[in-house]
Amino acid sequence: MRFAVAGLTHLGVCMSIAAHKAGLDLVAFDSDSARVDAARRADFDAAEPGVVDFLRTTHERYLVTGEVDALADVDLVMIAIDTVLDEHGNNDDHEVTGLLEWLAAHLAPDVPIVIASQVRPGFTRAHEHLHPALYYFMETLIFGRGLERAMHPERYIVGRSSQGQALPSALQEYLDLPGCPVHVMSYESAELTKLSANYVLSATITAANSLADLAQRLGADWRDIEAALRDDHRIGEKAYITAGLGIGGANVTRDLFGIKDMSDRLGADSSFSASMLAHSAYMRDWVLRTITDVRRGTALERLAVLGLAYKPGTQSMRGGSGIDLVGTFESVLDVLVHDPAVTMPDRPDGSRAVQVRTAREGMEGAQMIAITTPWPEYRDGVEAFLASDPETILIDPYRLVDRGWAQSPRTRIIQLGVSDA
Amino acid sequence: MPEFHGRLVVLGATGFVGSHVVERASAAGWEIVALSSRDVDLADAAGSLALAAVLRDGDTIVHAAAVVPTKSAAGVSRNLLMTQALVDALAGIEVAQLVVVSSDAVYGSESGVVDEASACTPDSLHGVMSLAREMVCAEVSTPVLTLVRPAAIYGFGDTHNSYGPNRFARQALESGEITVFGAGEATRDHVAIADVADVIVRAVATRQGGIVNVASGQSISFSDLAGLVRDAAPVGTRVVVAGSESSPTFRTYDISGLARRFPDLVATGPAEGVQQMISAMQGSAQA
Repeated sequence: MRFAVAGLTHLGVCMSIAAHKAGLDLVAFDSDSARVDAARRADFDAAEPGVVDFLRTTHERYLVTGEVDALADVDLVMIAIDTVLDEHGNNDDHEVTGLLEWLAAHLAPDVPIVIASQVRPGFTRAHEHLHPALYYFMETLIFGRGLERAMHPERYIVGRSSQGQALPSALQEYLDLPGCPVHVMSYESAELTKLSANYVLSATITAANSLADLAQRLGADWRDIEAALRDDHRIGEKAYITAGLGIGGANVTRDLFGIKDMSDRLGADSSFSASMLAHSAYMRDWVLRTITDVRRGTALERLAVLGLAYKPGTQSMRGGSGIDLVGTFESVLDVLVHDPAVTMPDRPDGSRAVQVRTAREGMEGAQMIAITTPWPEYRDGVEAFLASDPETILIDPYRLVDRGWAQSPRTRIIQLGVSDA
Repeated sequence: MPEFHGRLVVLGATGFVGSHVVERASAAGWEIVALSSRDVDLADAAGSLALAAVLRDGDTIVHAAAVVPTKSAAGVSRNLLMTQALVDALAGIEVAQLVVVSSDAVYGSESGVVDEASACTPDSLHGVMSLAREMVCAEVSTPVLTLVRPAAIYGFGDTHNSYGPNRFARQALESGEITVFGAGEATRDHVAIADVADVIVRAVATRQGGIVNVASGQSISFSDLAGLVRDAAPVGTRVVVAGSESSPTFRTYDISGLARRFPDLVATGPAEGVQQMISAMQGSAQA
């Protein structure tokens, strides 16, 4: 089977490589020549394991192209362009629409087009007039694990126009490749399933975060509670109940906004979405709130910020608390910034923020140290530093540090979900 | 001290907040026009014209003129009329910034955490008036409109005697006996007047618009607050319990928004603030 993936962003590249590895004859297509060139140069987020290595090598039956002729004899096309967040967290599906219109005009009517890009529920139905064989495919990729998830899906979820409608053989063949369960449903159900998954995860995360906040104030330890909850089969050992600084990832937040907006439009109560979003914003400020609180008793001149990436293993800073702290305090404090992977962007005039080469360099002499990304390599560095019995306040929301490393009360460790008293 | 070039017009300049803003801005060497109701009576029919005669293009205005607390329809009307007089006076004048000294009463009094994103759900006449006053001011054509919403303000010079730090301090110094209702469990955020004035002056110096909540970030129960006052007051001061506390509510302020706007501001905690207030009251009594 000849399979085309249109849209060479994160989703498209991962889906195309996975399909190629599964044995399909692959056309990796984009009408945007810049993205075609980037894929050819293997210019891709290095934090996605396996992708750059794959793109660097030439492969038989894997064609990267911007030429429409390459689509002439394909059996199935997947639109897999990443959708962009607008300022309200709504996704901008203009590019998906444009690509769909373009493909519909160029493909034979019986070649199935599958939309894998994230779109608002209702999108596929609203566009089915453009192409007789239009399907929706729910993607579940995670940044940093994109290729792995594309190759080993837990299940496939496909939306079709009407109940009972048989899937085209090319699509059926594609869906059968990994041997995972396949759920076939209406467009609307499949589109909403995507948002529902993130919504349910957000609910779990929000529950954990709000309880961790309470546990800390109460003198309890959320970690102990978390471990006990994982043994409850109704919650499960894989539940998203590790406390953190809000709901991570722009895609999840986007889905919450999406559900809220849809609920509002259709008259369903949306207060729960609003609560989760508000609580996420509140948790994002945990480090800032902690600094504000302990500052009352500590003259603060020098702050160390360890970590700019929004999570370990990525070079992206989006929504990360590290860069937020830098922006907040750089005009009034010496801010020493470290990150093993991210280079701090240029700072405005008057900034007192500097990037240091080692975490140790940042920590020396700082009255406060905030671990804003739990890079695993910080563990050893912080342990060694604390062995010198520094007089400092260590703010460790992710609980990377063992409290026993503090040699004396000169070192105060503040962690999310546990009282430091 | 923050720098500021221009003219700062303070309305309600002899009031609790206004006078502290004037004092703080004067100390910084700013050019100030301090107006009280004796200079321009905004409640008077001619108030608007009188004020317009004083104002110039480019002025920065702090609207701290209000009759508070508002407990009647007449009080609501009076405050809104005063604010309307300001808005009328500003027709045709391009002010650089309008700072409205409002109140956290716009958020209502339910238990919970309050921040700048909290919905306005006033449940008192004072809250409704404060919100309406903000909305009237939103009609002013200005590049920067700043809505300052302080939590319960306390400090030396407060003429009000509502349940809280000021009353406790007065009771401690006058009778040696602080009266707490029931268990005094309800928690509130009490913000020092110096911090409120400081934030207003900084918001002017840095031309910051939008909603600015001013709070200490440290909520405290009335019972603990009474303990702080007792500890700061002369030896022998006692806390006595009278009556009962009607279903207590618990309010906390998330002041990360304030920290983000003014990263070098360290809000005064209740222990420190109460001590300062009592020292000032004792000093004033001796003078």
